[in-house]
Amino acid sequence: MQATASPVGDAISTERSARHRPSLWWSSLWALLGLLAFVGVFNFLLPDLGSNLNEAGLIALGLLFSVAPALLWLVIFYRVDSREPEPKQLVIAVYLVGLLLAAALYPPVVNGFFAVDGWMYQSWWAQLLGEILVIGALGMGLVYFAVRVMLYKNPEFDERLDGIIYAMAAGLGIATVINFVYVLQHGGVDLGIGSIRMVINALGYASFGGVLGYFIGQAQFEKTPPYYLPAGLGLAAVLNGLYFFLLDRTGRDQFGGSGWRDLLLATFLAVVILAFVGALVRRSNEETLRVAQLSASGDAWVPITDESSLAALVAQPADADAGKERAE
Amino acid sequence: MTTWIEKITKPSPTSAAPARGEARRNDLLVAALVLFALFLGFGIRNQVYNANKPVKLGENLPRIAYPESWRERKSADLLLSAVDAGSPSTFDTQLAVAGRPLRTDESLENARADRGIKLSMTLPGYRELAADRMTVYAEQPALVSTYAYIADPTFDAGATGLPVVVEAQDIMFLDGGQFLIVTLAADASAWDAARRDFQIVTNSMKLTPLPESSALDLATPAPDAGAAGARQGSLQGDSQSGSQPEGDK
Repeated sequence: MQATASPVGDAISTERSARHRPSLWWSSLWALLGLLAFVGVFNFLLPDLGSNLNEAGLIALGLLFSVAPALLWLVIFYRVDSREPEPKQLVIAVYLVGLLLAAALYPPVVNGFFAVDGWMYQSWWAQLLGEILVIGALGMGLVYFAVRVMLYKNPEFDERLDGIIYAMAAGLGIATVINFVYVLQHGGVDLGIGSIRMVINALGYASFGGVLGYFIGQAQFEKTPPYYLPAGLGLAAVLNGLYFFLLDRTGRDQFGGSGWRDLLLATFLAVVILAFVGALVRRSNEETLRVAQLSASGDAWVPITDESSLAALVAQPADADAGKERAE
Repeated sequence: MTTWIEKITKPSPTSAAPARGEARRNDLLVAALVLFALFLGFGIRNQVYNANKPVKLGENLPRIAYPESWRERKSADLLLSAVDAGSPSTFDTQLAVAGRPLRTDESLENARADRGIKLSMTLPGYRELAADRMTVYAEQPALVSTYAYIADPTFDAGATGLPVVVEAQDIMFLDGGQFLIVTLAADASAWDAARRDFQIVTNSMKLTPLPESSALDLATPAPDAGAAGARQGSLQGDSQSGSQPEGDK
């Protein structure tokens, strides 16, 4: 959040924090289409790409695949959000911190200490609770701390939507590590199914990172009650758990998983979640602007359209009587 | 629902930025929530690991429990048979409980020697690896024999595949006028992984080792188990039943 010393600065900062930014949603939509195209290329255009590769080649290609969804999102985001993009270095740094935190903690905790493969799939309730309490809570906790480590007091974090952008970047860092681990554990992957799985992971972690990012953005610009951020993290963890639980349970048939069904469901869920977050952001921004206008005019409703009118208002004598007279 | 969405979209009545202390409070609360969730996850994990299905072996016979995820198999010759269908090997990790009435003047040691000889004659590549005295249930004496043999589950199923070295453990004791044998078996390479599941069975039987001073060497020399001799040499104490393997035949 930008440091502001004057009432004008406060008012401008408030208005800025509540700015709408359709480019984020457009870039997310384009990234989604790009990810589907990525899957399509390796399933329809180049289905035999990996058939002549040995294990080392498959691992190398799989590792490239792991990074591809994040790379695609970043490239599209900068293309679409070209008018006022977030600093590239900062977004990449948050992505890398998310990746490093996940690399340091995710495999040792999830696969080592909890050894989830040994118990989580033995019953539906164990899977659901494990996905929420272990996978979801840890993943979203890492997203939160990646954003906090990089952006606490950073002046670039000056819009509510920044919380979503950076949390999505951190989420993609975690998805990259999970994809890495998957590739290494399986000695490379089938490129068709592998590309679907990687896109599903990236969609999931980016979407739920977005949910948590909304709460982070709110907490950056408003006084929040103590339960607010934990509730946001809890919601993101529950959604994360439900997402992977539903994908695993509904995509399964007697012959194993169905990648295409998973992809369809993941795309649908990601679109619904991002649309919901978008609606929340719009509503928050409207509320913030309404409250800002009430305060600036001495508790009376005066519509304000741009920064110059805001500055003009605050430049008036700041005592309450003057404000009231103006309102009358 | 509307109230919740209102609380989410506008958490405070003003647009004032939070103080530094509030940000720190949020961090601590988030960290506490993540740790609490992981703690609950740990509890769920233990709950799943310890989930079991208790079964009464019969009239006047004790209860035994096996992992809930295992599947019970019908068997006319056995009191209980259960397998872990999710075993990584072609040989399923399994539990079998067999029992027979005690013969006149038959002791646990004699019954155990009889069992050892039968196994050595029926199981390919049978060799005993270790033998211990323990107690089960209400401090009833028990003999525990660990052995290995070769099984061919894929061939038995009509397919071609490599045979499997099986590691098994017989827990033998007397109860209700019967000689009871609880057999735990798994692919030798998966034995350690199955240990936790086996613990559910042994814990339900309250299997406890005897103090070292009262432990005796119980190794039975099997007719075709030359390598077992080396192992037996490492066991301490004198052999009561091992020296008279055919005494009860």
